[in-house]
Amino acid sequence: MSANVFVKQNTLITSLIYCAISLLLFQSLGYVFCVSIILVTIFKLSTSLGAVKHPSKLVVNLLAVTVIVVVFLSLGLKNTIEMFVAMLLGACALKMLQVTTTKQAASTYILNFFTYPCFYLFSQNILAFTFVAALLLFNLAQLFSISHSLPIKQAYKGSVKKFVFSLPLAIAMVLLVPKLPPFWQLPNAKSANSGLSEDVDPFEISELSRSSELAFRALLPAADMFQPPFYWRAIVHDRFDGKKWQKSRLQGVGLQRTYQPMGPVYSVIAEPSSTRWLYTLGDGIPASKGMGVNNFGTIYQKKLSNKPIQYEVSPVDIDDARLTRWEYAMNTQLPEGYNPRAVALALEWDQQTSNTQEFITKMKSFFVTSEFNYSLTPPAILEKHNVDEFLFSTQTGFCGHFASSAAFLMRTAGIPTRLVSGYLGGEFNQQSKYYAVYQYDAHAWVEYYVPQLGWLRLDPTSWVAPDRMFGSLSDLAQLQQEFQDNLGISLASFSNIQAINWLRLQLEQLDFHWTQWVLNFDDKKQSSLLKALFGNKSNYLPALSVVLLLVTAFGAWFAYLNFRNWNKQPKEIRLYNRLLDFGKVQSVGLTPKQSFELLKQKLPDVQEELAEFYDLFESARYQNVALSPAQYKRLYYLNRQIIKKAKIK
Amino acid sequence: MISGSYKDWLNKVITKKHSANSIALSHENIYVVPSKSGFLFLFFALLNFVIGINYQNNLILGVSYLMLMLQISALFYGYMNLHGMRVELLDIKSNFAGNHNLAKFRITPSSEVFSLNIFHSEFSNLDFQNKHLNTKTQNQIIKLHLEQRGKYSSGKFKIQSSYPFGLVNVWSYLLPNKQFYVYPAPLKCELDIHSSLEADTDTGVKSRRSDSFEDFNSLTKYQKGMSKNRISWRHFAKSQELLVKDYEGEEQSISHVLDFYKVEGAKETKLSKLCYQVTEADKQGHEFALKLPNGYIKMGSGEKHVTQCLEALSEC
Repeated sequence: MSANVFVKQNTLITSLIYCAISLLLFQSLGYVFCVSIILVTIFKLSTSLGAVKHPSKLVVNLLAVTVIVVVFLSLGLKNTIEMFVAMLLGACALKMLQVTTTKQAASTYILNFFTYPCFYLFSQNILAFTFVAALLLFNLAQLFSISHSLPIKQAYKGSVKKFVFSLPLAIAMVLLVPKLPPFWQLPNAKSANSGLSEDVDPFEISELSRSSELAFRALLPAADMFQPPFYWRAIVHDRFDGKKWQKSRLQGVGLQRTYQPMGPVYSVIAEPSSTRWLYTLGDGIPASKGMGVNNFGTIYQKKLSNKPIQYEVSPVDIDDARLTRWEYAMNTQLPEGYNPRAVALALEWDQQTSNTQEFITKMKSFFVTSEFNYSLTPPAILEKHNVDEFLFSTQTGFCGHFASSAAFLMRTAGIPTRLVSGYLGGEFNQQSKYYAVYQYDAHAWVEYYVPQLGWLRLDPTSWVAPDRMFGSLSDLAQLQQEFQDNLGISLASFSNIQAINWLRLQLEQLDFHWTQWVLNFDDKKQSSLLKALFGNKSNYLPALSVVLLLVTAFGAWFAYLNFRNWNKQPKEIRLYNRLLDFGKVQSVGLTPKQSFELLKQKLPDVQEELAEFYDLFESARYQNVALSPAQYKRLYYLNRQIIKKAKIK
Repeated sequence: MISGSYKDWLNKVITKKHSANSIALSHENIYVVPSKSGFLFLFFALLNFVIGINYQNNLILGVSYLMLMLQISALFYGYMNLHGMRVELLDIKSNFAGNHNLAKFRITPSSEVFSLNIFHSEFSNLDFQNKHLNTKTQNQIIKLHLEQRGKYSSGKFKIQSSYPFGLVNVWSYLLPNKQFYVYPAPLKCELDIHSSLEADTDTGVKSRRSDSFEDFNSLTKYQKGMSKNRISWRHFAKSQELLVKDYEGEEQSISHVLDFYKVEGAKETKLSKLCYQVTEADKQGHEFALKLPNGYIKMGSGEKHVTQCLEALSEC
């Protein structure tokens, strides 16, 4: 009877947990699914309150079919992982409607050890980790409660101990068990994170939506070449259609040029993004698996990951001094009939100047003297001649406007030019020596080609807002208010309050270590750790050490438990057992008196001592009077005496 | 063939090791394996491992290792749960079919014991599931539900626990050498006393119906083994002294033979009726003998005699 009460209580709580998980994964699983889970939970709630009758098997099966259809329609076949997790959660939630017996409940709780960790497929930050770890601990307590019919509180106490005992061992296993490469390619969950967009279309946007989400972190070695400004290149845009700059067709095509190494390797830990394009300072070649590099010298992931990934880049100088004819054509291409005023201006400058550098100087003086404004909330430009509109009337914009119009002007003059988007700047963390780059550091600039020299960088934004080049956008004093209005409510938006800024930086650092040492603990880091632990003989030693560690841990623990039990026994029983062991008497099923008779037969020389021992033993055991210290002493003495005498014999 | 002989061998080993009325659970006689749930748990740990490896997801991998560790430590926890406990079968009470036979156990745990179950190899549905015991020595009574009359030996008790989490199966056996009877269920009928006169010739005892059982000669002190039905409760109420009514000689008490062949009905009905008659005759203080196809029980009375008759009826 009481077992049923526990089943009812626990299944209700678990239903609510499923609901919470679904809502937290709302962005991945879709609102249709979340609504259906909420409905199922409400159903469960009302059955346990007694408002609604328990559903029959038919009803539950019908509901199951409905949920499958809902999941299928709302997520589709493309989102395999999302669909799988949604089905799993849906099935578990429906099962909770049906569970009545302890056995059914117990198997659901065992299944939960698989269901809950699926959360890690979508998010792996510290919060997600703590959340799922707490869920697993609670699930263990629920399993305990169900299988032993105990109230949850008591069960919780019983299981915390066992959980805590297993935890360090599990961590040791993660550290020491050799990391295997993946056996199969499995579909990845889509990341809900934002990132750079593949097309740059600044004119129609009236407000740049900036987020304080982390984009990536970089660990730069101390070398002269790593000096600000840090232009992190990600995507090259070389096609302009009059409205937007589109991603180059060569963005995902491998490098086919020669290159020379330039300096020490640096590493980047990139947060999951919606695109595959990673971040490189200048040109770089990846030194990690799973990465590719294209002709522009920027690195990309071969497969989109939904967890933070760490990669090493060795900076190089790509030999791009020569440009093929088709590349030249590609990088000077412009649509006909757009922006007549800008075209006229560019052609005028072209007439007046003899080389690219002079052209750029002309252009710079135009931007500077016309008093352009840098703003995160420029007016939207919807006209066809958008560059004209920006250059001659609004004159207010952010990096995209400046880069886009500069590239337009240069292409008109026949200078091969392309737009590059990426990030500029980074917030330096003093304690852990890394640069944190946020989404609001996103930036766009221009690269132009000079024969014999190759591609050079030009940032028109810096003519208007020179401060932007150094430090992060968050450091820009004159934009402070505008910047914070754009962020919405987050810790970063309160960073002018010192305590909150300190807290933000601490959390940021914790997250850095978490990402670097926990999420990205891969075979490379493992082997360096093992080298530090075991020296160079680390071929089979680590694997052996896992086994040894487990055997010693469990062995020591088992010995301790036995000792504790033994220690709990009264002294006279310990002595009695020692005598029985010594005399090799099987005491199972015998009373102490019978055992002593056997002992007396086996050890005829110590009859008297045995008799005295038994008297003392009996009075201690069966008369409920504790022996005096003197009597204990006597007992010990007799015990020794018996063994000594018998041995001499 | 091989599995059959293996089972026989196993049974022999268990019988040899566990034949006793009491057992102190220790490393020699506790068996520990993962339960079905435990294997399911390990299966999900494996699934987590595969997913953790394929997504290179250290957190899921960690969960998988954690589950493995939980399962291994559960084996130890399960073992320690029963370790040091002493179980002794004191007695199994004989009873009429349809009632319960009560098996009385004395259990002395060395520490708190969780979720103790006791099963029996032949008698199912023992009402001893999921019991939590504290460290005190305690007597536990288990009802055995038996429908079939007869003589039973105590058989094989399995002392089992799935602590902790139901992930493990920890058990031991107890094979006591106690015996008990399930008497036929009594079936109400007339007490057949007329038959006694004829059948009594061989014992030479004459019986005559007495009109009043209150006609007793003297009172003697109650001694063990005397029929409780002859206790004079009136005196007990007055003087708190247990006195037994002595009927005057054999002429006054009624003695007769309960004869299997004189009772109507099928065999089981006959036995049930005789069973009723035995208890009824004992209640009324008669002396009686019992004639059965497999034997004859001489005229007598008292607790011992009744038990003897009931046992004979059970075994018939």
